[in-house]
Amino acid sequence: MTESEHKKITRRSFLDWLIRGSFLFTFLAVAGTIASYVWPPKPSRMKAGGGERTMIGSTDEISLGKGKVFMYNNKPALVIHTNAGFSAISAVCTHLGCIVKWDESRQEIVCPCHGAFFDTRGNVLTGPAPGPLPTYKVTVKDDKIYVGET
Amino acid sequence: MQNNKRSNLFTRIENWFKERIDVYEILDSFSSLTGFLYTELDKRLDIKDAIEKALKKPVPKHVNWMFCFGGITFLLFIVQIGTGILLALYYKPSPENAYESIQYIMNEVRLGWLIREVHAWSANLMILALFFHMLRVFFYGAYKSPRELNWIAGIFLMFITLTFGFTGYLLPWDQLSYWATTVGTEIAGGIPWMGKYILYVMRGGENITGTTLSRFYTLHVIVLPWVAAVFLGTHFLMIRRQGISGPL
Repeated sequence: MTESEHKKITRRSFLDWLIRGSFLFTFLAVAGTIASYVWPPKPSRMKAGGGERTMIGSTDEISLGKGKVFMYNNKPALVIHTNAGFSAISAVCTHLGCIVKWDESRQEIVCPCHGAFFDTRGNVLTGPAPGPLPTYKVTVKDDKIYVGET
Repeated sequence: MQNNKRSNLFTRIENWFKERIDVYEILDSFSSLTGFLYTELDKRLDIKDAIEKALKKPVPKHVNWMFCFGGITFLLFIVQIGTGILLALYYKPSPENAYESIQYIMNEVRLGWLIREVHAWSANLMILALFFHMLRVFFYGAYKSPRELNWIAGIFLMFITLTFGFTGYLLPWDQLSYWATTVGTEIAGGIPWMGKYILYVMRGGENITGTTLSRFYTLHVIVLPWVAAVFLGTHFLMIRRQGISGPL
């Protein structure tokens, strides 16, 4: 490397390239954002119903008369243990999307936000909910509770 | 010594390219926009003088930062076009799908939340910038003769922008947009004598239904952008013709 070759980068050309670089950086940032937005997203896992079968716990965790909220297809769901066995119901209230709770003393599902009540099969008993809570298929195998179709 | 080694590496990379393609000739003609405009395009279209005249038009001494609001409004309008086109790729204008498609944009599409929030924020800021622009024009007396027509074009642009906001507000199809549109159309319905007909046409019926959504969507993405483009064109042409208004 000789002395004259070092002088190739002057202050002016350095600033020139700095400006070009910042333009290029801005352009790439915007183009990258648009490209990642336009590229179709992965098929949704958030859609309700027909999700993968998920193991949500063992039978002795939820004794008779108790309920538990768990995540099914990335959405909260409720599994309850009644005389009829285990059943799984969406825990997203059909009114405004609050997470419903299992009321052990009343043996009913209650929404804490606006007082909607549902029976053990998700049907509306009273309150502002416009429709029933969707239910999911439950299978018990080897003392493990599974929710969803196989 | 370390520096020297690195320089050698760069020289070798540079030479590798030089042997294969004439990098510098390409860089010289495309290195900057002006380089491209003034050489390659000018050879063919003879546009150098026109561009020079447009870009080097002197700005009067009295022009200060308050004269920026019109340009800011226009910049935000450009942002709205860009983000609006992107949102239209995923938005579905029907009562069954509208809300869900917005949830999809917000939760599933990569950076969808960003595009939607930029659209919403610049919509609000555009109206803010528009009113600051109007205040500047008003208090500088810039609306006076011979610029009355440009003030009127600006008033049309203000109403177009507000209609953009009003129609865009219904598109998420949630409670907020439903009731905002209910109230908004009822205000139009309060106009004496012809109000009820206006309300009927705006809603596409007695109530706010899928028809209303289709109407508002058509206005928002097809009608208003073109009307706005025409008025913006005349707005800017008149500024060029008449020049920036004088000092206080």
